[in-house]
Amino acid sequence: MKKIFQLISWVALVLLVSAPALFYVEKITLETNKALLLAATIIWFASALCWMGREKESE
Amino acid sequence: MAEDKQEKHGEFEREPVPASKTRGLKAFVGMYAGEHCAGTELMIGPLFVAAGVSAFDVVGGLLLGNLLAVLSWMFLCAPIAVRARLTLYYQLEKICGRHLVTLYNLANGVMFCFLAGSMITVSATALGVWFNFPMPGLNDLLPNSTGWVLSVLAVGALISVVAAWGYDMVSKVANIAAPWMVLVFLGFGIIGLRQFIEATGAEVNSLSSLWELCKNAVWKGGEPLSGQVKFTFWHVTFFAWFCNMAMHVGMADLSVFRFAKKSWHSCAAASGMYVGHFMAWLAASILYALQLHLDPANTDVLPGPLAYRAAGVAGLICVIVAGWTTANPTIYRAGLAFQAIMPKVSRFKVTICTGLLATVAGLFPGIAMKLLGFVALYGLILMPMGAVVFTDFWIFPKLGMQPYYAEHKSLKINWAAGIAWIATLVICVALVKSGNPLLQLYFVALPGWFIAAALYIGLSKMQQKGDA
Repeated sequence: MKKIFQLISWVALVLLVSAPALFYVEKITLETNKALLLAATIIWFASALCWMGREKESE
Repeated sequence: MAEDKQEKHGEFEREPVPASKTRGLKAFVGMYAGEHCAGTELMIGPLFVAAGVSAFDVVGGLLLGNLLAVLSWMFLCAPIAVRARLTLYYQLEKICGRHLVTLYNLANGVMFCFLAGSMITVSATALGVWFNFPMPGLNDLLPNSTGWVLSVLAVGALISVVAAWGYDMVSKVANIAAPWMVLVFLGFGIIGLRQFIEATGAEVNSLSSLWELCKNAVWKGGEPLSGQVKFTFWHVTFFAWFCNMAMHVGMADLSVFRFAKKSWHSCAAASGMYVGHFMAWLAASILYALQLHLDPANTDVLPGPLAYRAAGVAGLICVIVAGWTTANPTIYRAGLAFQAIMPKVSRFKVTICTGLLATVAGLFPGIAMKLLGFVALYGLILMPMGAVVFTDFWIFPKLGMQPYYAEHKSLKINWAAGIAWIATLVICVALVKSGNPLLQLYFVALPGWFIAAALYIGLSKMQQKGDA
């Protein structure tokens, strides 16, 4: 399960980088970029909360 | 990351860290990258633009200044940290005596409060976007609207209560937020550049054309905005070098690097410098430069609206989280510093009172708007004690003098160290007041370090003469 959450977190981080990059190369609008950033933010916090703290606790 | 650091502060406070508890390079890389990507970065970048920096000055100055900061950690702070493996406070107590450490704690705590106050200010600007109340301008020193006051009070009260009650929870959030925050800062820069290209109609298809855009539209140089000091290459260099002066030259990070396996592991500080104090400052400054380009009359440095224009709600969340997660450990540390002075008062009460003090500081936008000067002052005030520690550790044995004099003589106060500290500050203030451009607040800490070291050696020689 942890691996799945980690994968989702990585996807969120990739989205966080790609949304501004896509806006830079004019593939998406500023509004779409903002929506993607918000989605990536929600996904990141939701998924990272499921493994980041717990990883440390198990150590 | 803040949590890691806090655990460390709570361990081996009065004994050297054992070899079994030391950590490798990796443990410090994440800690520094997270700690130096804070809410205040969103103020500092724009203030560089307000100070009229040119592209070469800001990029070159930050590259050099951050390198000097990393070298200061590597060659001034860490070698002592891994040899003595003591906290700064315990080492100072051995050198200066308990009473002088109390005074140091007081100065440190007050400065931490002001710093946390400016982080609360940053977070409050995000609420201004939601509730649309008038927010302070670049040259405002006092709160300018009821909405602003209520907003700062709400943010400050929340941060204070959480710092006193739920420190561990916020530390976890800070750890989780760190990678996300770094990428949102990066996003600010990329989005800001695209908006600049659209606003100027520039053709950017190579690195050289990007540099032309940076030179001609983003960091144009020229006169600073009204009320700001003009920043040159050397201002940027020295600011980047000395903005964490209390930590490296001032030796506060002895408490961190006493856990390092090797002295060179302190090169991990580069992660914080080049992520937070290079990328994040440049990204934030691009957003502010764009605001000025679109409306030269709008000189307000307000991270909330800047972030919202570029990244929408995610940007606002970033401003709030960046301010909150960094104000929280800062208030906690200030509380610890004050608690050392009043050990009988509970940590909860001390942290709440410290948070309230920081909140009052946050009400006054003058602190955040003059953050460049404040940060330089913060480093300057604590720097002489770093010179005292350095001199005591390396130079005294070579001169045949007694290190850890207060411990050796069971003194409550080592007046040689006390006079060296206060006299250095008086001399540095006099140098700044002299009006010599080479001795501005941003530069004076460099000669100040040598003055402090020379004074401490000279005064200690007089003090120890009778002992021989």
